[in-house]
Amino acid sequence: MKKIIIVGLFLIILCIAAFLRLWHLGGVPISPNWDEAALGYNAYSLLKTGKDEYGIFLPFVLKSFGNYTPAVYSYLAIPSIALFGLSVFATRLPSAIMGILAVAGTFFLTKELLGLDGHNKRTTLVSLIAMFLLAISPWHIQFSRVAYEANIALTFCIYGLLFFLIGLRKSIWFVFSSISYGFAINTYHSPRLFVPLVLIGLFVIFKRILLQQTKYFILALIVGSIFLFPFVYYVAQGQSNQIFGRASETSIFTKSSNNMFGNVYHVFEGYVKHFSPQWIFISGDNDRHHAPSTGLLYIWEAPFFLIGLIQLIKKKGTLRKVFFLWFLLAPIPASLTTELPHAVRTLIFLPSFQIATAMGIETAAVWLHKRLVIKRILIGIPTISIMIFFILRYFNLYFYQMNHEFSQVWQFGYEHAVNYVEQHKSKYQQIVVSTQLEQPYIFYLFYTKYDPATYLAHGGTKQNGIETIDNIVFRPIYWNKENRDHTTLYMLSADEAYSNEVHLIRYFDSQPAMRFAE
Amino acid sequence: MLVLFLALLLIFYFIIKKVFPTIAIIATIFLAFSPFAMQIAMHNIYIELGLIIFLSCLYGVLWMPRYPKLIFLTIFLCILGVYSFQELTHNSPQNGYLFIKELQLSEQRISYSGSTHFAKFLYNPFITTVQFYLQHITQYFEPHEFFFSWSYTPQYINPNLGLFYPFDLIFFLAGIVYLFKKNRLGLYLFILWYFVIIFPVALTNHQPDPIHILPALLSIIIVNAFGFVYLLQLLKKQ
Repeated sequence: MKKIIIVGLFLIILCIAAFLRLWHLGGVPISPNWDEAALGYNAYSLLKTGKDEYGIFLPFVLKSFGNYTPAVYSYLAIPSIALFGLSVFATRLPSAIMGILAVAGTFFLTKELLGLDGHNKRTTLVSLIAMFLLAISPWHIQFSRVAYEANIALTFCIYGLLFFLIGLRKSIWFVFSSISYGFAINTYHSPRLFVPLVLIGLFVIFKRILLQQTKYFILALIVGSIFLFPFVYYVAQGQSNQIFGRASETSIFTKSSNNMFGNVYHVFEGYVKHFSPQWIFISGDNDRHHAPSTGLLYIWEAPFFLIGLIQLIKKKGTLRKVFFLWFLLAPIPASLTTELPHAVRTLIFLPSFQIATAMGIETAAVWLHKRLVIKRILIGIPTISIMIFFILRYFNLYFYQMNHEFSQVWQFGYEHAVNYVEQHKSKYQQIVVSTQLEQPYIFYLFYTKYDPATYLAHGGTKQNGIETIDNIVFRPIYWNKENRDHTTLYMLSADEAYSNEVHLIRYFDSQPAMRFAE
Repeated sequence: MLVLFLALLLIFYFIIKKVFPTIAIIATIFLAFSPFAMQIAMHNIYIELGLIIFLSCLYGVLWMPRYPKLIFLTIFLCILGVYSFQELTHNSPQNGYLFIKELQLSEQRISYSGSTHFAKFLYNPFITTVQFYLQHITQYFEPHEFFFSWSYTPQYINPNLGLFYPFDLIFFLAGIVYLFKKNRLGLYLFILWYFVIIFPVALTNHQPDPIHILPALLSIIIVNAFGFVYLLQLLKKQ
C-alpha cells in the first residue's frame, strides 16, 4: 500500500473517530451523571482555588461521594473548563480527546504487535481495520463520550504497551512506557492490578531482550516507581482507604465469607462471566454502559472475532503470547468485584477485540479473494450491507433513541430543577432538597457554577453532614413532620410522599423524575 | 426412576462406544454425575423416557449400515421421540414463537423517529426479529449459566449450580482444543448437533430450559470427556 494512501486512510478514520466522539458531546448522553458532575465541579474548584470540594489542596485522590476517585481526570479537565467554562461539554472533552488518541494508538499498537512475528504486506491494512473498528466501536464510543476515568486509563494502557514494543527496538521508549503505565495506575482502579500483571508477563516473554538493555530498563523502573508515590504517601499517612477504599467497597472479599475455596470459586466465576457472548454482542450490562438494544460490540463482529481468535491461536510466535497476555488478563481486576460482568472495569479489554476482529476480517477477505468473482459478489455485498446496516442502526440508537429511552438512567432533570430553584429561591425562606435524590448538591454546584472560593469559605462539602448552600438545605424530608407553611419549597424524588405540588419534572418517557411541593 | 436413569446411562454408553470407543466410560461417568442429568432424573420420569427414546433412535441409526431392516424400528422410535419431546417441552403454540414485545419496541422507535422511511428501514420487523432470534441463540452459549449458575429456569435446576460443574469448563475447553487439533470432523459434528437442537428452541419466547436442549447437553458431555482424556494424555507426556 502506498504511503500516501495509508496516511489518507489514517486521517479519514481519525476524523470519523473525532466526529463520533465530539459531535453533540454535551447533549448525548442527555445529562451528566453524578460522577461526571463531581469530576467537573472538582476540576472547576481546582482551577479556581487549587483545592477540591473538601478544601484539600492539589489532591491525588478526590473523596467525592466517599468513593475516592483518582484526581487525574479532574486535572485533565482543567484546560477545557478554563477554555469553555464549566459545562457538560468541557467536562467530557478530555475523555473524548483521549478516546481519539486511543484510536490513533490502536493503529500503531496493532502494527507493532503484528510486526513481532515479522511484517507482511497486509500488516498495515489489518492495523487500519483495527483502528477503524475501535473508531466505530459501541463500547469505546460509549465511554469516550462521558467523563469516565476508565477511558483515560485505557488510552494510557494502549500507549504503555505501544511504547514498550517500540522499546524493544529503541530502548529509550521503555521510559515512556513506564510513564504511560504510571499514569494508568493513577487514573483508574482496574489498571492497578492489570498493569503489574501485564508487566510481569511482558518481562517473562521478553526477558532476554530486557536484560540486554539493562540501562534503560533500570531507568524505566526508576521513572515508573515515581508514580507509586501517591500510594506510598497515603499508606505512610495511614490513609490507605484513599487508595484502596473503592476497591474494598466493591470487592467480593468484603462481602463474601473468609472461606478461601469460596473466594477462589467466586473469582473464577466472575472471570468466566466476562466471556458471555450475550454481554459482549447483544445486551451489555448496566443501561448506562451501552445504547438501547446494543451490546458492547456489533453482532456482525462475532464471526470475524472468532476467526481472528483461531488465527491467533494457530500462530506460534510472540504475537500470540502478547495478545493473549492482554486479552486474558483484562477481566482479572473486575473478577474480584461485584456486579459482574462490568463494562467499565473491563474497558481495558480494548482494543484486543478489535485486533482479533481485524485479523478475522483480513482472513475472510483473503479467502473470498481466491473465489470466483460471482461468489465474491454474492458473499461480499450482503456481508458489507449487513455491517453498514448495523453501524447505521447503532448510530441512530445512540444519538437519537438513547436520550429518549435512557433519560432516567442518565439522571435527567437536574438542570431543569436547578434552573427552577434559581428562579424561585428568592420567594422562599428556605428550599429543602431531599437527599433521596442522587447527590443533588453536586448538581446544584455544577449547574450554577457556584464559586468554589465561596463554597469552601462556608466549609465546602461536609463529611456525612447536612449540606447547606445559601438558603438551600440538603437533608432527608419527612413529609408529615415538615412545617409546610408555604415559606419553604421542597424538592422531592418521584417516590416520596408529598402534597401541594407546584412543579413536576418528567423524564423523556413521561415518567415523573422529581417534584417541587410547598 | 432409578432404573430409567440406569437405562439411559447404558444406552448412552453403547452409543459412545460405537462412535468414540476411547471415551465411552469417561463420558458415561460424566453423564452419571452431571448436575443437569441428576436433577432432571429426580424431577421428571417422562423426560428421561423421552431421552431414552431419542438415544434408542440414534442407536438404531448407528446400526443401520449392518442391519438395514432397523430402519423401520428407527422410524417408529423417531416418531415416538418427536411426539415425546413435543409433549415434554410444552412447545404448544400458545406459548408463542413470536417476539411480540420486541416488535412493539421497534414500532415505538419508528414512531419516535417520525415514522420516516429511514427509521422504518432501521427498525423493520424482520430485522428486529432476526436480531432477537440471535439474542435468544446466544442465551445457549453462556459459559457462566452452563458451568456456574443456571438462572433461567430455577424450577428444574438449583440456581447455585450450573448444568455442569465449574471444573467441567476446563475439560470442555480442552475438548474443543483436542477436537480442533486431532478430530476436526468430530468438532464439526459437535457444532452441528448443538446448533440443530438450539435453532428451533431459540424460536420460542421461553426462557432457556435444559429440558428443551437435553440432547445438546449430551454433546457437551462428550466434548468434556474428550477434554478429560486429552488432559490426561498431556499429563502423562509430562
